[in-house]
Amino acid sequence: MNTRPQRIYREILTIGMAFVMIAVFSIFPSQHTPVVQAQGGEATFVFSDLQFDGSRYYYPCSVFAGYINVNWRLYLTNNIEYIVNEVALVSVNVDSSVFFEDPDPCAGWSDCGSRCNACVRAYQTSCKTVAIGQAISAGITFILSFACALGAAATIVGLGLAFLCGAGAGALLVGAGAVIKGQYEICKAGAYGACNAANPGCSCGG
Amino acid sequence: MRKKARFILGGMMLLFMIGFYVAFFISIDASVSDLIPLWPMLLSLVVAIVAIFVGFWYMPKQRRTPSIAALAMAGFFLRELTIHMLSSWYVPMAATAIVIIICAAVFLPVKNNTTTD
Repeated sequence: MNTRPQRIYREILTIGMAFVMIAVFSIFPSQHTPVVQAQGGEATFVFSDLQFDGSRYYYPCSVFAGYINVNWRLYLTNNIEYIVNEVALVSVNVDSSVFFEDPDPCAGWSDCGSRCNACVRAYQTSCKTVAIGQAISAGITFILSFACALGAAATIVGLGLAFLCGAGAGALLVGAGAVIKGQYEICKAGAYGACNAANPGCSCGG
Repeated sequence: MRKKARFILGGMMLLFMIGFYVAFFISIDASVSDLIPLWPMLLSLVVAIVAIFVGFWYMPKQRRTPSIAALAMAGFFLRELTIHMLSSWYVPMAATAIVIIICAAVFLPVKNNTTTD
């Protein structure tokens, strides 16, 4: 009843199921993101962390509290894969009051040099934080794909399959890393435009 | 032999992940101070890795397939239905779900006395 070919067959099914399910779930975009209209285009916000003040949606970013208080960061996108890119894009296009706490935390700095330096540094740090978070999230999918396949493998054939699954998942992770890095560079470059918009009268470069 | 092969494969995966993160962090000029604010995500990642490896190592054979299905479903519900992948809640919630599923698979008593592989 439980011959070796049967065991191998069952194992192939199990490993295949693990890999396909996780891969498919990773590909599908998230469905529950409220959409509002913002100047510059359609804005899709991160659902769970979103706050609504009665008229506007905000994404709070407490990482920079005490430094420059860039408290509101928006993820605006039409496509999940390009969220960091869109942060840069919308930061340029949308009124700066959406992105900076009111009153303006930079008000203490009267000279444009200090304001721009602080703004650009904080903005680029936020790009880095987003990129690191994305990489960690991608890692979780990699672990689930490979470790589940490895856990299901009980024979040498199964282990071979698990290795192939791991190699595939690893290649996807490296690809995701390259995409995230590209988005990070775009976001970083967008800091100047965003800071120009946030500091009227100042030229922050770019 | 199989256990050894599995151990080696698991080790390779961990080394690959460490290598990936080191290379990625270097490529974006991330320093330790950049990582400190993200400690809940990093800790959750480590917890998830440990839970999956230790769990699959010790759980009874017949629990593996249901565990994989449960993990995939948990991923589905978290990512597609409740929490956006880029949310700071995603990784900690995923790690919590993984730990709960693995603990249930490892510690819930089985009806027939099956040994672990």
